[in-house]
This record gives sequence, structure tokens and C-alpha cells, in this order.
Amino acid sequence: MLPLPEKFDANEWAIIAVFIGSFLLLLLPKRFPVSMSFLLMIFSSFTARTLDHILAAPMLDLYDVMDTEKYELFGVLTYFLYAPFAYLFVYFHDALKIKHLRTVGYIFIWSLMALGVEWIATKMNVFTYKQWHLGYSFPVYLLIQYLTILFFRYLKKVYHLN
Amino acid sequence: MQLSLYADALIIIVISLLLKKKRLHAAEYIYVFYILTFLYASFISIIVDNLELWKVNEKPIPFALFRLSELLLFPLLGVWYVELFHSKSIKLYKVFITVTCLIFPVLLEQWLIYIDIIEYKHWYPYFTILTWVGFLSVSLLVQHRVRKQLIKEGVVHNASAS
Repeated sequence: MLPLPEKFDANEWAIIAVFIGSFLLLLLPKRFPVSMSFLLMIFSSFTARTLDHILAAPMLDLYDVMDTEKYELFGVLTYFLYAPFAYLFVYFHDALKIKHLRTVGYIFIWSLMALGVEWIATKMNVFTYKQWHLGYSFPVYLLIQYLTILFFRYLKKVYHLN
Repeated sequence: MQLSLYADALIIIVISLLLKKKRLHAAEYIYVFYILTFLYASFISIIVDNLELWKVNEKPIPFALFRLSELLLFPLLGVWYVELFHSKSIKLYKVFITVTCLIFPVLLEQWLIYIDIIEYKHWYPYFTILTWVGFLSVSLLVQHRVRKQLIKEGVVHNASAS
């Protein structure tokens, strides 16, 4: 059902490394309720999965995730790797009390960092572009990160954290 | 004509699901929706791309309607199930709602087949029922776990969602 890697190489090791590294998040002082932190992390996995499902699946097929065109086991794991980044993004946005136009700069810097991470991921064959280009990802990151902040603000309201 | 009728029905169902009076905490709905969307999109990738048990019409309009159903309508069905399940505490009512929510996806799939959006290859309607037993169970489990956590965090105070 979910194919295993054809060859256990750089992309699989990259995923395992980030997965283990994610546990470092536990060292950060707690800032939000646990259920809210998980929700923020699930939001990023949900968004990544939805976008990949639209853009990378046959029909558009703009890029491949991992080794083949199929939906692979390690392909599933890649979606959990967005979670710690999303958490850190929101965590520092809140901790540094970034507001108004400074949010634009914050989103810009994080989008550049995300682009850097994606560039490394393509070098390690986590993504194989077909009709996609690294530059196309930048506006997507800008938009998704803005949506993440809007979602965070909405959650603060429903969790009565304002 | 058939396609536009389906599109109308899809939009009306989605709007009514979104506008229905809510009795649970927003986080419970969002958790169920995100997790179900992730699972359902993965399920579709496995049966369409990996196992080729369904064939999806690749013309733009049918394909777009399929994606909308898959990423919006079917996951919202799980959210609606959770909502309706907790709307009354009568056991017979819960059984009725569960059976209805198991039949509804089958009927929707039959409609998708009728208007030539999908085609079953090696798939039978009872497979859909079995799959939805899983999805509905996951919806209830997720909602139950999230509610327990929200109570622990003092976000909600009522242990019973019913």
C-alpha cells in the first residue's frame, strides 16, 4: 500500500535526522497549551499534505516527493517534519511580540529560511522537481506563513489567551 | 448539467456544515477536520495512485470537483458526524446517525460514478463502508482525546459533549 524506499539513501536519512532533531523542541519553555501547540503543528502538516496532494499527484504532477511518483511511507513522514518549523515560527513570533508591519519582515525572513531548507531537501532528493521551480515556492511560503499567523491569532481567541 | 448539479449540492452541503450551530469547542472541530483531511487524502493517494482501485476522470472540471469533494466534503462529513453524535444522548439516535454517516459516503461515491467523475476498478461499496467505519471511529477518538485535554487545560469545563 505504502511503498518502502527503493534505496535507503540521503533523503531517508535527512527525514530521520530532522525527526529526531524535532525532540529538541521539548527543551523550549512552554508557551501555549499542549492542545494548541499540537494544533499549530498539525496545521502545517495538513497544509503541506493538501498542497502536495494537489500539486504533486498525477494530473498536475509538478514534482515528486521522495523516490517515486507513488505515495510512499517516507513521503508520509515528510509531512510531520513541517510541524516543528511551524511551531518555532509561531513560538518566536509570540515570544518576540512581533506586531503590525514587522510581521511582514518576520514572514519574509522565515520564507527565505524555508526556501533554504527546501533547497537542501531538493539536493537530498526529498523533492524532485518536474515542472516546479524553487522560486515558485517562495510566494507559497509567504502565503502559508501569513495563514499560520492568522490561524494562531484565531486560536488565541478561542483559547482566551488575548 | 449533471456536473453543475453536483457542484451546487457540494457547495450547499459544505455551507450547511459550516453554518450549523456548534456545540463543541472550535479546537475539537479543527482537530477532527485536519486529521480527517490528512487521512482521507492519504487514503485517496493509496487507492488511486498506488493501487489503482479507482480511476479518476482527468478532465479539469470533474477532477476539480473530485478534489473539492475529497479535501472538503468528505472530511467535513466526519466533523458533522461528531457534532450530530453528541447532539443527543439517546443510544438509538447515535446508532441511527452512525448508520446514516456510513451510508452517505457510499451514496456520494455512487453519484460520483454516475456523473463520470470516478470509476471503480477493483472496489466495492462495502469497502467504502469498512473504510468509513475507520474514519468515523478516528473522528470520535480524536474528539474525545481533545476534549479530555481541553478540560485538563481548563479551556472547557463540561466533561460531556452531549
